[in-house]
Amino acid sequence: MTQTAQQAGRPRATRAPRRLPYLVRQLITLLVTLFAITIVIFGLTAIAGDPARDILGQYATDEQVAAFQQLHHLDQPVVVRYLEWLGGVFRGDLGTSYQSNGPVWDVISPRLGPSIVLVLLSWVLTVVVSVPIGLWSGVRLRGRRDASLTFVTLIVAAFPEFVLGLMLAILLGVWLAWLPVDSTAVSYGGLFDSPSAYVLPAITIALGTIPYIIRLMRANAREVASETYVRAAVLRGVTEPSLSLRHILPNAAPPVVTALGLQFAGLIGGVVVAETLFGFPGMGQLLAQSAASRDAPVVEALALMIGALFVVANLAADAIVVYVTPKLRDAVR
Amino acid sequence: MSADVLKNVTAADVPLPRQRSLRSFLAIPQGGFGVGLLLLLLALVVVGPFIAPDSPNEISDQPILGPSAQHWLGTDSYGRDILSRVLHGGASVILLPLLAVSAAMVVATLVGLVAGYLGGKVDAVVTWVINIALAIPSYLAVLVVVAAFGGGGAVVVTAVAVVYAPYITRVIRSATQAIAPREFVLAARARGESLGWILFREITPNIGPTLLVEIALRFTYAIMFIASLSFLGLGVQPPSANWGVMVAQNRALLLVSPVGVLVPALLIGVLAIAVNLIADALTQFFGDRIHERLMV
Repeated sequence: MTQTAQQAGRPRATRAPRRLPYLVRQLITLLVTLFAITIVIFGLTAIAGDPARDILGQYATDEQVAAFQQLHHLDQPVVVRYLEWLGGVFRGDLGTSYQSNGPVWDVISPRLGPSIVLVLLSWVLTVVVSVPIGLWSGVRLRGRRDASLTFVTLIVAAFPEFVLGLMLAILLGVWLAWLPVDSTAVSYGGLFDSPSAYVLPAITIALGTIPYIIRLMRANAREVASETYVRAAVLRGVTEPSLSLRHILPNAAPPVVTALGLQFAGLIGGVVVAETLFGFPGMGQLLAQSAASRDAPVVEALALMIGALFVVANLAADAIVVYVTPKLRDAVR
Repeated sequence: MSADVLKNVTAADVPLPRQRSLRSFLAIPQGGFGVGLLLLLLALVVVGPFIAPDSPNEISDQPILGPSAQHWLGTDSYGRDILSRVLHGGASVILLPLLAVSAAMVVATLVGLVAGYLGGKVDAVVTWVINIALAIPSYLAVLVVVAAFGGGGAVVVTAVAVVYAPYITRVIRSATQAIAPREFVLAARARGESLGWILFREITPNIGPTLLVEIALRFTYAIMFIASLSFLGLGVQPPSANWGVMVAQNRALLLVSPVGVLVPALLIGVLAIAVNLIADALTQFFGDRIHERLMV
C-alpha cells in the first residue's frame, strides 16, 4: 500500500473527535483496574489476620504486641485501615514499615533509581536482540535452520531466570572472570559508578523475555511476508533492507508492541529473581526480602507501584498500536 | 488487551478428535525428546533416595569441599553431601507444581465450562473477573500472599493455583464456546439431558486436546514459578533438600565449587524443558489452534 492510497480511503476530518472517547474509555478501564489492584492487595493482607505475633516473635509481651498494633493502626476495622491507606497513597504517604518502623518511602526510595535503570536496560536489550532476529528468521529462514532456532527459543524459554542467571554467572563471572557475580556495588556511589554490576542482571532479565518476542516477531513477519502487498513490492523491485524494514516490519509490529507491554509482567518476575540472585540493591530484591520477612506495608506499596506501572505500560502499548496501525486508527470509536 | 483473545475463537479453532497413536506423537521430535527427558528425570527422582550415598541432612565436619571421590559434587556449607541432597531433592520440585496445576485445572474447568456454555450474565461476570485478575501480574499477587500469610509449600501451591486459574478458565471458556453451538450439543439439549451431562459427557471430551495442552503448558510455568519462589526463600523452606532451595543456599559457594550450584539448577531447567517440549509437541499433535494463537 502506498501512502496516498492509505490516505484516500480515510476521511481525515472525522478522526480527531473519534479518538478522544477511546482514550477516555481506556482511562476508565485503567482506573477500575488500579482500584481492583488496591482492593486485592489490601484485602489479601487483611484476610491473613494480625501479623503482630509473627513479626515480633513468640517471646513478645502483650504490651509490645499492643504497641505494635497501635503504631500500625491494626486495632482499627479493616475498612478504616483500607481508606486510611488509600488516602495516604494519594498524599504520598505509603505507611510505616513493620521491620524498620520508619516510613515505607524511605525504604523504597534509594532502590528506585537502580531498578529503573536495570529494567530499561533489559527492556532495550530485549528489543534490540529479539526484533531483528525474529524479523530475519520470519522473512528469510526456512527449513532445518528455522526449526533449530525455534527449538533453541523453546529451550531458553523453559529455563527459570535464576538458572539462566546462574549459568551466566558461572560462565562470565567465575570461569572467564569478566564480570562481577555480585552487584552490591550499585548501592555505593552514584547510579552509574559501577556499570559492570548491571550487565549480568540485565542479560538475565532480558533472556527471560527474548524467546517469546522472537517467536512472536517471527510468526508475524512470516504472515505479513506472504501478503499480496509484500509480493507486489517485490515485483516493483523493492530490495531487501527496504523490504523487511519498510514493508514487513511496520505491519508485523503491532502484536509485538502489545506483547512488549504485556511482557512487563514477565519482567517483574525476572527483576525479582535476578536482583536477588546477584545481590542487586533494587526494588525486586526488596520485594522478595519484604515478602519473606512479612513486611506487608512495604510489599503493598511496591506491589501498588509496580502494578500501576504494569497497567500504564499496557495502556501505552495499546495506544501505540492504535496509533501506528491505520486499520485500527479508523476502527476505534 | 486480553479480551481480544476471547472474541477471536470460532468452531474451526477446536480440532476434531482424531485417533492417533502414541507412536506418532513420539515421532514428533519435541515429543520423543521431551518424553525421554521426563522419564529419565522421573527415574532419578524416584530411584534417587534409594541410591544416595548419605542422608540428605547429615551434617559433617567437612564443609565446602569441591568434588572428590567421596563427595562427587562436593559438600555445602553445613558439610552435607550435595549429591545426596540432589538425589533427594527432586520430589517436591515436581509434586508442588503438579498439585497447584491440578487444583487450578479443576476449578477453572468447572467455571470455564459453565461460563462458556451458559453465556449471558454468568459469562459476563466470569469474563469481568478474569480480565481484572489478568491485569494483576502473577509475581506480585503471589508475593503479596506470601507477605500476608508467610511462606512455605502449602501457601505457595494455593497462591499459584489461584493465580493460574483465570488463565486456564479463559482457555476452557473459549474452547467451550466453540463446541457449544455444535449439533450434538443441541441434540443433547433437545433430548432433555441435564446440564451436568451436557458439560461433562458432550463438551468435555471434545475439548480434551485443548485441556491436555493447557495442563502441559501450565505445568511448565508452575515448575519454573514454584522453583523460583523456593529459590527466593518463599516456597519450600530449608533445611528441606529441594533443588530450588539448594541453589539459593549454595549460591554463596559459587566461587569455590560452581558444580554444587550448577547441578540442581540445571536439573530444574531440564525438567521444565522436558515438559515444555511435550506441551509444544501436544499442540502440534492435536493441531490445537487456541494455543497456537495464544503462545504463537
